[in-house]
Amino acid sequence: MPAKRRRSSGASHAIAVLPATKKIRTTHPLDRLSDLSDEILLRILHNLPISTLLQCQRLSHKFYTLASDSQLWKSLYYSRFVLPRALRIPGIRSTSAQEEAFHFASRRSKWLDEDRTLVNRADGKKTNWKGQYKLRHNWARGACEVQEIRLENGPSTPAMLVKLADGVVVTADRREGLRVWELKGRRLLTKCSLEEEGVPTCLAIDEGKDASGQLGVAIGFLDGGWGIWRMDSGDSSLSRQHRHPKSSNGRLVALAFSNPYVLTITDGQLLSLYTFDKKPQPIPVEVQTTEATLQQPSIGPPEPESKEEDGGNRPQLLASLTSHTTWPPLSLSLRITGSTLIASIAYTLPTYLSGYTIGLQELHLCLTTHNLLHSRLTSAQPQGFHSILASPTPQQSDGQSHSKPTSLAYSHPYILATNMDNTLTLYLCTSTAAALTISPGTRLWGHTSSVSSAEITARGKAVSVSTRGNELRVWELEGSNRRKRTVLEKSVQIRTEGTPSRHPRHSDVETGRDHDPEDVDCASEDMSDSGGALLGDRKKWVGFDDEVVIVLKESGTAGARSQALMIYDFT
Amino acid sequence: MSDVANQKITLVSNDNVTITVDRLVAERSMLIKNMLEDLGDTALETEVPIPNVNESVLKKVIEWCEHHKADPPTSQDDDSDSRKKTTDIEEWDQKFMQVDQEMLFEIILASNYLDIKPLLDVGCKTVANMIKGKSPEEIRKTFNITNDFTPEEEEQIRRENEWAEDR
Repeated sequence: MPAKRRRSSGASHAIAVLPATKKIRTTHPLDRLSDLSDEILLRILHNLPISTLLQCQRLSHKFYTLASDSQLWKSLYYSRFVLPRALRIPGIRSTSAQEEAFHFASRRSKWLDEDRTLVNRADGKKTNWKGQYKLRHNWARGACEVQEIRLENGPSTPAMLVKLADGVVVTADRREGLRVWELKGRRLLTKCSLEEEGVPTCLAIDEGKDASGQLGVAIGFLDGGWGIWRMDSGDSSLSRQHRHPKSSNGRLVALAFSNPYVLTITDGQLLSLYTFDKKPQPIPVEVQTTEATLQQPSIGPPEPESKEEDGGNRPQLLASLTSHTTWPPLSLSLRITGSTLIASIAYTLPTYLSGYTIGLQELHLCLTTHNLLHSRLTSAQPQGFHSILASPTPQQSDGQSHSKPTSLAYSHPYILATNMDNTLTLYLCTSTAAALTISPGTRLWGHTSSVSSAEITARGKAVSVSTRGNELRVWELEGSNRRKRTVLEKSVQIRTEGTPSRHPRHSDVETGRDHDPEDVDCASEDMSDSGGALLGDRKKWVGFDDEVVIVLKESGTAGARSQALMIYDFT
Repeated sequence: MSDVANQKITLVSNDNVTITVDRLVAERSMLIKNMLEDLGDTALETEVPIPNVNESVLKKVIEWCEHHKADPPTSQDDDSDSRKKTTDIEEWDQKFMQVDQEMLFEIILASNYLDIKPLLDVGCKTVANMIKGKSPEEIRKTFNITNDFTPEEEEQIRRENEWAEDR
């Protein structure tokens, strides 16, 4: 056992090796916890659950700072929100689950960091991990604050168009023109009149990121024309970049815009793809499909081109096709993968036996030459199902919508259709070099009344709104469809902070005429439900980004309706 | 040159008490292990002062090292997902940590200085368990923490963090 000896001079050599750290004498000798180094305190805090961690913030200034530590919250964020997702990827579970939970290989961590909210902040700004955690936490519980922006008193025909992008809401209608609202301040940023342009019928926001950070907006009009507007990021002024003249093909019903490409479809189901990118290949391509299916689109004549010179920035028609089976509701999308531009249209398809199903057509174009590589289409129904002898299999019967969907949201690889019968139907598209397929639909239950609109992201997060009342649900659908036939979907009903009633807190922009928006809203929706055909005009629209959900709602009696944007803020 | 298993090293606490321990036990401390690697066996012949640690704490730490000398070297150096197993402290370690607060913090400081990660973890978890489930006032009382917030400030932080409260 240790022999005790007095030593006046220790081994000087060893002293040099073991540096003596200064012993910090305390001013407050009893508070030994606060005297520990920050590093050790963080180790201790790492062992605490969220609730205790937040309690610790109230202890003192020192603990307030420590318990807000970004790395602390980052690891909490990862273990709660990223890791469960990562573990679904084959190959990650085996290695990372046990010993290296937070030590991801670079390739994996790159994947994990693809979280859009986090990448955006990679520009040198520090991510507020606690804020991020809170955001996800609120989403997971459906907790948010509600505010309202009153848009317009009186009905709007056709319905007001709304889109959401990067912290701004873009609305377009005939009377008020194109307006851009700032989300955070709930105020109008800028507006420009559409008086001379015509009646806007569809709206799209530039999906591709412009280098200048400018917001690009495409609007389609009743007369078949369309235009591009840009908002200057500096003084927030809107300017028209291009106006495509009206066309004899009828009104535009949907648009997709990914600079420099614009995809439009008309009432008469003529799909056109334009580009502003000048390439020495001026001849429009006629689309041909090889699939011998009943839904084969007939080859449309090239759109009559009556283009005027527009500052030398004339769009080129790259491809067009017509189809007589693409029923609305439909959804257009443009996406760029590697060297290919994929223009796709998801649409509703009537079938003989089981009502409606979903179809999808993709046009693949080479990005460099703008040559059409190929076109293909698929539907959520097995080929050959059209035979009247075929009996519906259980798989099909749970996959088909028996009534026409009320809306369709497409964000590759998900198509989400909303139905009158209180459900949503989720389809998963698989688009490879060899094939394009859509999985049989999966019914999502949860709403208690007819679902009127939904939006979905490429990561499988969806928000849906029902016609009646203010029922909003958040869905986390990623990974739910592929694995099992039984759906693992979870949905959370959005509830508003503090107020147990469904009556939202009304804010600034509210004007005098006050009737209870909720109750009257329900009543009028009843009317539109029974009216059936009127549904299109009363339909609410829902959209969301990382922090907020926006709902366009019409309220008021049939005579005096007003429109408002409800903002559900999760931060 | 004797067998590694039988080698001894002499440590000197800051109150000048020498303690001789097996080399294998002492090498639970990464600080000592690295020093021995750097200096070679010459260090075994000299006395190694541990300037920050007094006799009683050093003995306590050595007791822990004795018990854990056969543990496999831990690869998880940082941040491992110890979170879920917060309360999982080995029974022996739990008993070992049943000491007064002063000793507990001395052990934490010593294990930090001597770079004995597993012991540091046990210490931190023990403190975390003392914090868990308590109200801020109770935590302050437990550790004699001075509240340097005004009541208004504290209320504001409470409201800031309301989102995480279970309702």
